[in-house]
Amino acid sequence: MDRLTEKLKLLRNIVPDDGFVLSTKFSILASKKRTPKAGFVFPNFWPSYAIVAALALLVIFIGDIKPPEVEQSVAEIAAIEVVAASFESDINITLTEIRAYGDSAAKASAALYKASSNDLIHSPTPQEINQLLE
Amino acid sequence: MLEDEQKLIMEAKGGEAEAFGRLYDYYLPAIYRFILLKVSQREEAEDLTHQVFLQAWQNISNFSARGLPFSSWLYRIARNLVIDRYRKTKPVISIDEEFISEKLIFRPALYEIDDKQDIARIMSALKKLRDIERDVVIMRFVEDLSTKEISITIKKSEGAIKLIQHRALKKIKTILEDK
Repeated sequence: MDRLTEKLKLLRNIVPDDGFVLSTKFSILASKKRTPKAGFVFPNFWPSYAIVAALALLVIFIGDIKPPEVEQSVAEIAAIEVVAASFESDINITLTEIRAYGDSAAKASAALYKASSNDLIHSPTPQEINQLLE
Repeated sequence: MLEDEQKLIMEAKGGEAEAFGRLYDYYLPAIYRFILLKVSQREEAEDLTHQVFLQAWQNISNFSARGLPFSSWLYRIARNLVIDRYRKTKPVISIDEEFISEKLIFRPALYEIDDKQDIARIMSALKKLRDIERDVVIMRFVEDLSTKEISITIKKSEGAIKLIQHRALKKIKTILEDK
């Protein structure tokens, strides 16, 4: 065996061509070295993360479990709807009030017009004014 | 192992081409021989060696020295590239003295014709081994890697490496005796 291993060591005498060694060296070193991507880099044990993520998704879909983020967003939407409904009723109330003010202003205007067109000697009684306003 | 290897690796990781150049100079002959003895074609060996060092340079930032010698990392890249290249077809090259004389380059010290004949016989015998047996024999006896380094490179236990090595040597001996 020793003789055989000695013969195997003869293969160490094989060398690459000097021209190849130099030209390859220059072309490699001239090539742009990749720089690691900025931001989050998965550590070496990333496959375990992938397995955990896959299992979590499986549990969510098979077990029909909504992840907390989804539940939270549903609750938020419900709350927004309640607030929107209260705003709507507030707006309706305001519009009714505006309409009522508009009506009474028109009536007051009509009453004043009628009063001014009447005989100046005759001044309307409070009952007449009330009648006109109604 | 190269002197100041860890320092050179750190500098190369930082983008210093000169540091990587020194690693290249030191490891290129071994990686080239390893590939050449696997593929038996000089042009292919040169092309694949170029790719090994190009990949190493471009990915050295990802190299982690924890438990993995730099040499093992290079051998791993080389093994994977050879596997990828010959996944479908294996090259059929007859290795004879003519091939040895015309295609290969030797250190100036090797003048003996007998040595070249021995090299041709050994290379032919290596081609008849299984890939893993050939890899172990080249790394252990040609490149003088320790069993531990080989076990890290090939991802097998040291015991398994010793067993593969023993079987491979027996096979080579039988092949050479049959000739």
